[in-house]
Parts: sequence; C-alpha cells; structure tokens
Amino acid sequence: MQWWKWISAVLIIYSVAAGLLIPLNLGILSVHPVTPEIADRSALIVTGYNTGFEEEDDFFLKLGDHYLKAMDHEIIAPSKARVYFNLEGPIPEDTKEAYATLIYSDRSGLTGIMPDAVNLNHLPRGGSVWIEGPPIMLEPRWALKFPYRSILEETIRNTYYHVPLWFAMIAILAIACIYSINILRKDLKDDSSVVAYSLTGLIFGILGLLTGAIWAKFTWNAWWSWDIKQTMAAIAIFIYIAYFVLRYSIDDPDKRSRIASAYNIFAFLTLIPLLFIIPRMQASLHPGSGGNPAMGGEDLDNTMRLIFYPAVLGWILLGIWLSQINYRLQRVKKWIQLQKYYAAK
Amino acid sequence: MRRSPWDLFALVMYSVSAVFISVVITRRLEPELWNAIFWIILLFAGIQISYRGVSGEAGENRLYHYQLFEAVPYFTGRFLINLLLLVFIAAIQFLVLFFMEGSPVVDHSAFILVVIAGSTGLAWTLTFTGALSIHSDQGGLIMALLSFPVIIPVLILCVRMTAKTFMDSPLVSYDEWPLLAGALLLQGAVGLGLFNYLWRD
Repeated sequence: MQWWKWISAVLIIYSVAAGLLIPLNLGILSVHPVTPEIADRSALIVTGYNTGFEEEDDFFLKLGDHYLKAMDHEIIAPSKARVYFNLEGPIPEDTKEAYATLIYSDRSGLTGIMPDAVNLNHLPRGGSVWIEGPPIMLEPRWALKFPYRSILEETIRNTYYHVPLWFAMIAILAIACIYSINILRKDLKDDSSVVAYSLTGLIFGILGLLTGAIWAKFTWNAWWSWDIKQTMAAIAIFIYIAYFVLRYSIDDPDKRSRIASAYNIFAFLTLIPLLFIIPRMQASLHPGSGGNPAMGGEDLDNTMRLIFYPAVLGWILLGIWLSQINYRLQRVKKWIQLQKYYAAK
Repeated sequence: MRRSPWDLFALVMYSVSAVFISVVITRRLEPELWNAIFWIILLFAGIQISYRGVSGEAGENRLYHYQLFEAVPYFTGRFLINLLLLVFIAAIQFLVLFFMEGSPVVDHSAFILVVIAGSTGLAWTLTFTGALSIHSDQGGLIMALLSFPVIIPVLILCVRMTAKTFMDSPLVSYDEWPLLAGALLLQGAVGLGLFNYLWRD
C-alpha cells in the first residue's frame, strides 16, 4: 500500500478518535437571576458544564475593561454554585451597556466565560470599585479540550466530520473536472476516471449533508430547515445525480464520454456560485455566516486546528484512494466486456 | 429546422394555459406567488423552446449541419433565437397575469431589465443543455433533468431581483446585478468553450 494511503488512514482514525474523545472545556450554562438585586451580598446562582466547583475557584464579573471579584461562593453541587458579589458600589463611568460577563476560573487556570450574563443597568455609574485590567489571579491556561460555545456545546465535534467532508468533496469534484478537461482536450476515449471521482464526490456530498442534518437536529431542532447552504448543497447533489443519469442515457461510449465530460465541467463551474456566492448573500443560522462561530480567524481555536486540518487532509486522501479503486474497477469491467466481445466473434 | 407558424402559437398557448391554471387554483396572488409563477412557467417554456429548437437536429441532419456551420456562430444564433422567444413569452405571460390578477410591479423599467437579464441567463444555460440532450435517447426528460439544478442560481437571482422591483427602490441599489453578470459570464464562457466539443457529434 502506498505511503499516502497509510497517512490517510492514520489521519482519519486520529481525527475521528480525537473528535469523539477529547472532552469539552469548562463552560457556564446559566446565571440566575439575570438582574440581581442591589445589595452588598448579592447572590447569583451559576450553573456550569464540565465544571467541578471547589473552594479555591474564582469568579469575576467583567464590564469592558473592569473586573469585579466575587466575595465568596457556596457550592451547591459540582456544577452549581451560589456566588456572592458586592453590587452596592457604582459601575465604571464610561460603561454604555451594562451587561456584565461572568468569568469562572478554577484553581488550575481553566476558564469558562458567559458573555452578557448579568444585567447591571440599574446600578448607578460613577467612580468605581471595579478594578481596571485583568486581575493577577486570572491567567487562563491552555488545555487539550475543545472550546465551549453556548449553543453548540458538544456538537462542536461535528466540525471534524461535516466540514472536512465538504472540503474533500470540493477537492474530489475539482479533480473530476480536471480529468474532464483533459479528456476533452486530448480527445481520450475512456472517462472512467471522471466517473470514479464524481461518484466519490457525490458520496462525500451525501455524507456531508447527513452529518449536517444530524447536527441540525440537535442545534436547530429540525433535520431539514431550508437553510440556504443546506438547500444549495442538495442542489449540488442533484446536479451530479443528473450527470449519472445523462451517462446512462447515451449508448455510444465515445460520445458518452465526451458529452458527460462537457456536462461535468459545466456542473462543477456551476457549483462555485451555488456553494460559495449565494449563501454569502443571505444571513443564515449556519455557522460561518452572520455572527455564528465556525471557520476562520476567530472561530477555530488552536486546539481545534490541531484536529481539523489533519482531518481535511485525511478525508481528501481517502477520497482519492476510493476513487482510484473505483477507477480500476471500471477499467476491469470494460476489459471484460471487450474480451467477451472478441470471444463472441 | 422548418418551423411552421403554428409552433410559435403552440408555445404561447403552453405558457398561457399554465399561467391560467396557476391563477385559477390560487385565487389571490400575493407578490411572492406572482413572482414564483412568472419565473417557473417561464423556465418551463424556456425548456420547451430550447428543446424544440434543437430536436430538428437529430439524425442525418447533424453531419450536414456540422459541415455547413461552425460551432460558435451556431451556438450564438441558437442562443439569440431562444432569448428572443423567451422575452416574447415573458411579455405575453406578464400581459396575461396583468389582465387576470394585476401586477405587483412598481418599477417597470427595472422589471423589464430584470426580465431581459434573467432571460439571457436562462436562454444561455438552456441552449447549452438543449445541445447536450439531443444526443441522448430520452430527449425531453433528460433536458429537464439536466437543466433544473444548473439553472437554479440564475433563477434565484432573477426571483430576488424581481421581488425588488415590487418595491420602489432605485436601480442602483440592486447589489445582485454584478453577481448575475458574473454568473452569466462564467457559465457563458464555459458553455461556449464546451460547445465546440459537442459540435463534433
């Protein structure tokens, strides 16, 4: 087996295992009440995720650049704590919208954050008991865990399956397109390579749609929600199914390879506006558009990058591997047909 | 390519009957419905136009045509005919819809531009898929199956822009023009280039 096939197998096993096994970092599920009373010992009940509240932990409220440390906290359960803040003092002068972020830092430095958790608009503004700049004890430490994002929670793991599948699909279909261009330019007779790569691309596309639907069921509570990217992806799959129908409807093999290759190029070039341009025109809930977390600078942290990029590479290589096997199969079938033809003569 | 004058009449009746049925079923047409009916029926009429145009090419005529005409001018000619017929049918559809249910169009000059631009996109893609489909044994079925997915981006842009003509926004606020132009150019360049290869068949 060639070297890159080993790499592909290793990368996929690694990304699947890491994607499923690595635990999620701390997160804060809820803070209650959202508008606390003004008192010198105002209580907030904080529910955490993957947290084990202990005595040495610290809680902070953050407004802009100013921090307020909690006075005290009681542990009700491993993931529930009652935290006491002194909310009598004024909040900083220059605060516009007083929605404070709750920060939880455990003794080893792992931090969980809930932005806009507490409504402090009813407090007076003035010179402040809130300290400017991050307090010394708040030093986040990196750990091999996935970031906690409020709506995504555990489903962030889908990033390692769904997105690499789509990347791989595009790569494989691009290879199919290049083979098609080759066939047309050099007037080759045999288009099995295009068929093989298109089929693999189609399968990856369907898998991508399925993983997306499973994710959507958990986050949007619907398998299919006519989200623009979802719809466009389905249309892309229809285009390639039409490619196969076209192939079956033409009998003459030479003509079939030429016409099918022409359609393949056309189909791939239609894919570009479908999958990339039109979704950007509309706001949607799909991660990666609007304000949602997904790919790109702010949206993949370094831990995720460790697993994500290898996954993409692994799936692309797997796609090429599968397509090559299919290609050889097609060639053997044609050879057998030819043998039968000559034997019958 | 002998066309009798009845062919055109048949096309017109195809689209008019479709419009009529749609309007009869949905009594009151909200603007979105009007928009949808207009473009969907135009799409089907376009498929018919393109397919009928090339179906006369089947069989022995093809080699004759190959020797007579070159690929690019032939494609351009066919595209222009399709475009002309599409715009004509669009006008008739609009008149029929206007007669029966009124029209939500506010900005008429913009609407005309959108229809022409949209028909260009439709005609271009449909000419290409029409040429593809005459080689297959199942003709019209393949034509529709091939065209639908590929035409969807153009159709979405058309519908969006038409929806904007229902409100009184100035022409320049249409941010979708460059997109449509880009998509058309892309497909146009591809279609034209590929047509040379199809032509040999």
